[in-house]
Amino acid sequence: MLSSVHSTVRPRPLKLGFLPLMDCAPLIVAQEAGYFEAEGLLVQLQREPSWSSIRDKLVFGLLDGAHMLAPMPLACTLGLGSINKPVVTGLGLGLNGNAMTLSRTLHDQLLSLCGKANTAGRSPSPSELALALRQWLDHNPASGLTLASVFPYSMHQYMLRHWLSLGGIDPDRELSLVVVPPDMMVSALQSGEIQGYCVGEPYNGLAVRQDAGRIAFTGHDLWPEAPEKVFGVTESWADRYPDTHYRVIRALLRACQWLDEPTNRAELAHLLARPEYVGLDADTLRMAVAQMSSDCSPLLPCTHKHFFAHGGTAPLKSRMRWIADQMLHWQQVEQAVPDSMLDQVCRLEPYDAAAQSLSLPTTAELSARPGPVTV
Amino acid sequence: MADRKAPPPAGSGPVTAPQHVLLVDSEPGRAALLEQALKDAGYTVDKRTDPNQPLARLVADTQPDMVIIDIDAPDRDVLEQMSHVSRDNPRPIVMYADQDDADFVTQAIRSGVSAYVANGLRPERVKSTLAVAVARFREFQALRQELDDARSELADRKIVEKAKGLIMKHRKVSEDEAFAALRKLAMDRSSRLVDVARNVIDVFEITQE
Repeated sequence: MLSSVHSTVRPRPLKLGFLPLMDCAPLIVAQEAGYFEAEGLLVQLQREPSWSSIRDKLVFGLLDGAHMLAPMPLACTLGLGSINKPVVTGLGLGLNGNAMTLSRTLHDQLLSLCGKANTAGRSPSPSELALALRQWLDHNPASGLTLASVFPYSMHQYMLRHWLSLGGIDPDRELSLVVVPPDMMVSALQSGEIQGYCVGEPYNGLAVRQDAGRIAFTGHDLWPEAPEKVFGVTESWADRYPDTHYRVIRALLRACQWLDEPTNRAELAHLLARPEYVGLDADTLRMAVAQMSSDCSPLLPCTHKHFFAHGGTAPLKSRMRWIADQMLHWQQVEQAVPDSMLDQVCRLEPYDAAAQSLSLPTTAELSARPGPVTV
Repeated sequence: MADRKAPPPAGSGPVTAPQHVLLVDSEPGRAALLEQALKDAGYTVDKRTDPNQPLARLVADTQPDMVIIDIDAPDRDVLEQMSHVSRDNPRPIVMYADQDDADFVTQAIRSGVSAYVANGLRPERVKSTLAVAVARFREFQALRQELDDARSELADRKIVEKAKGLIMKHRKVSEDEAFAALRKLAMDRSSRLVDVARNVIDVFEITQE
């Protein structure tokens, strides 16, 4: 029995990759609060420069697991933009957290097109802003409007596209959609290279603080409780090391619970600010952490970022179906993704085992809840 | 999007025309090394060593057949979107990696090379270009390692010298005696000479205060 347990445990230190963003926090907390250690795991966190680097290193075995954009495991399994190699997820790393930032000029123009009388002083909704952008494009047909997201297979990409479609705008014909790395967004906005972007914190608040842009709306305004990042491993790794996978998930699950405690926020900002993690100045990170749920204002709206609450950690198939439908809608795939592939990508067993061991709801109990709602 | 060169007509045989490579590497020494190797192999080369120069515009302006990019480039994801939006734009090299090539691609990634390739380029041509890049990246890695080793050896020697000097001054002994004392300490504790020297310096610094 002992030998069979040992054979499913990864013998060497685990290499887990992350990108320096707010929502890599579960990996950092699991490491720093000793949750990995408590599971008998020796973990080496590896900061990566780009999502493509994360994907390639995971797929080719240079990483054991990684902080990934929620659509990435399915994109890898489908072979979109990469070698076709199945990647699975047994854990979500939280919900919400994105926002749409526009240059001050464009934002002002859209607000005046919305008309103060119609919105009676409140911030206009995403669809009101999209209809205003429709009018703006009709007035400025040769504007060369360029908007950015962070990766072709990302929630940011789908949110941006969905928002444009609310105004009847064709994102592939009427403007340019580009990718800009998160930490270059603000400078690209300042230089006029782009006029807006969809990204996670702290890069929306940072544009406001530097007076380069305005937050038009948050991801939560558009799609409440949308998945954002997940913890991904290759299918072959998950099959080979089920016990290690279970332990990593348990440790990260505890970290996600820790992160939802408002009393831990000050410590979180402090941890993220460390140069080996996110490495931005502590003030910017404190602000981003505050924006998660409490200290909000019209200029810095609440992102409703949470990690464990609302089933944020569960690898629910309903969420993956919704991502698959976005891929189909935007012609990233030619045919509907079969249900069997979603079953392949969403690993319920290790999550349910970890959740049960911590007396937390399993995926079956959480599946009864509705997925993200389209406005 | 600017017009692209038409792909070679079907059945026209192997592509022999010089191919245009865009090299993206913020390590100027390594970029120069690879640029020369590619030119020697008959390629035309554009390179970007300044990470602040926008990559999307550069690709649109230079229309490369292949982009070879340092895996640590922070704006690599820009190319992923370009290859997704238009089928004419360079596509990730891993598209060409079937199971037989997995080892080769792993080697490339391990040495820090990634690449994007336009449609119409033959897989064997891609592979040979990539092999040139991998070889140069490795060569550079080895050079850098050698340099780092030499630097740390020099730094170690300076620490040992300093410890030796302190012992000579405070114990009024000769240089040979000071060195023998350090070596004996290292052997007794089975530690490295430099670590013992560091401890000696610490001790003297504390007792000086």
